[in-house]
Amino acid sequence: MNLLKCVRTSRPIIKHCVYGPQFSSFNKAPLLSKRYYSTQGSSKSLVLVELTPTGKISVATLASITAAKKLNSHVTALLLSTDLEESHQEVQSTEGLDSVLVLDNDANKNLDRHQFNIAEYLEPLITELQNEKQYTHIWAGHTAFGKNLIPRLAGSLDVSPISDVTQVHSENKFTRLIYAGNALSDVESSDQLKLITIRPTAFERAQKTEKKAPVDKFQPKSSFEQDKVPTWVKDELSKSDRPELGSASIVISGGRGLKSGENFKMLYDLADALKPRAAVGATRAAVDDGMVPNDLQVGQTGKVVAPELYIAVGISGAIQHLAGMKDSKKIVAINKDAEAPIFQIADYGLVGDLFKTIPGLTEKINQNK
Amino acid sequence: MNHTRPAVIDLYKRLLFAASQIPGNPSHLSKEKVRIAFRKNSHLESHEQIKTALSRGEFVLKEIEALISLHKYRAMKDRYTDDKDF
Repeated sequence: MNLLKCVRTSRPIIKHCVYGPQFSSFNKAPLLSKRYYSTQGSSKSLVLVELTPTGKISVATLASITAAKKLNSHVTALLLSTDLEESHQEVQSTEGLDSVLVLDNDANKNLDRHQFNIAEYLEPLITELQNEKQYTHIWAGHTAFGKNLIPRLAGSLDVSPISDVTQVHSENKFTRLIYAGNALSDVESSDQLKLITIRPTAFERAQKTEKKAPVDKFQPKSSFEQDKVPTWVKDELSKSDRPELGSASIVISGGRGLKSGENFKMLYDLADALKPRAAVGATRAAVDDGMVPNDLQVGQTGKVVAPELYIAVGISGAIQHLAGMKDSKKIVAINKDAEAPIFQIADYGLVGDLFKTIPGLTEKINQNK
Repeated sequence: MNHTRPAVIDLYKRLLFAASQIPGNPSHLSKEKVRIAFRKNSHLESHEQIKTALSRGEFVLKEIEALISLHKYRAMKDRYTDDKDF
């Protein structure tokens, strides 16, 4: 095996083996793992169904079903919402499911559908279900829903969750990405129950089928005080007609050098002047200072971008930020400090006060139109 | 009292080497900066202070190394990917 490093934790729950990226067998399962597939039916899987705001079954859930099916286990989908006839139909006719479980609770009846995405609300219900049915695997997608719910469940069930899984080798062996996706780690769990979130893009989506899975109902006994559980207030998405940060061919990012959120308007003006229109990003420093919302963050913890042209304005160039944009084709840096690290990796650098250069640049572009 | 001396000299040498590798800048200027930074802290006497300065130096070294490797990464990418038409 291409074993570089093997770490055993003091608590013998999970065994890690870390592989270097050059040895990654990301898309092909090792031959050995075939052997495990013969243990048919010995595992019981529960897939937590996540619904999109429109009531459709999410891509992450379809991928989770495929992942669960890799174990040849008995797969049950847990549908958390009772009122949506449409979603029932859709979930039932998904390939790979052996049964569908619907949470049937009188208290649920009049709740907003979004309430079923709240981990604090679901955790006692699923814990009760698990204690009764004793599943061996609980799956969810590595999305906001899964990332919120699975760790909470893990806490109440006292097991170690396995997150962001990209490969399923056997009932207790999985591959997951670590160090911001730079290395693969083989994880072996000795827990009775495995709580897993899977990376949706690493598994195919489960297809539709004619056959309908039978529906069971589950009535949770646990009741809880409504006022102690957070309630869903509203869903607010920032909508804009600008290109999306991840897929834009030009990205203009601002850093702490812009000094305030109002000054980001300069970047938006420049972004609108460019053709094709540019997306606007920000550094962690700018986000932490509250200048812009955090969905603009570019960097290791934010979005990783790789546009044709990346314009860094007032950014000194922390390594974590540079790591998020290093694959850009051309990098242009505008900063008043000539010694800023960003100039070391920029293709073109402009040393100057951004409060003069950016409006000047916008004007020039508009003149040349 | 002198037992941090080898560690300081070791860090100094490694920083000098890393400084000479920084792309773009003339290497004697970068090296001069390292010298200035060390001279600034040359009066430090207490063990704790020296330790703090050492770990700060290690941090700077790591940043420089990351920067250099990122620069190399960009250079390789530039050389071995063919779409240069932008």
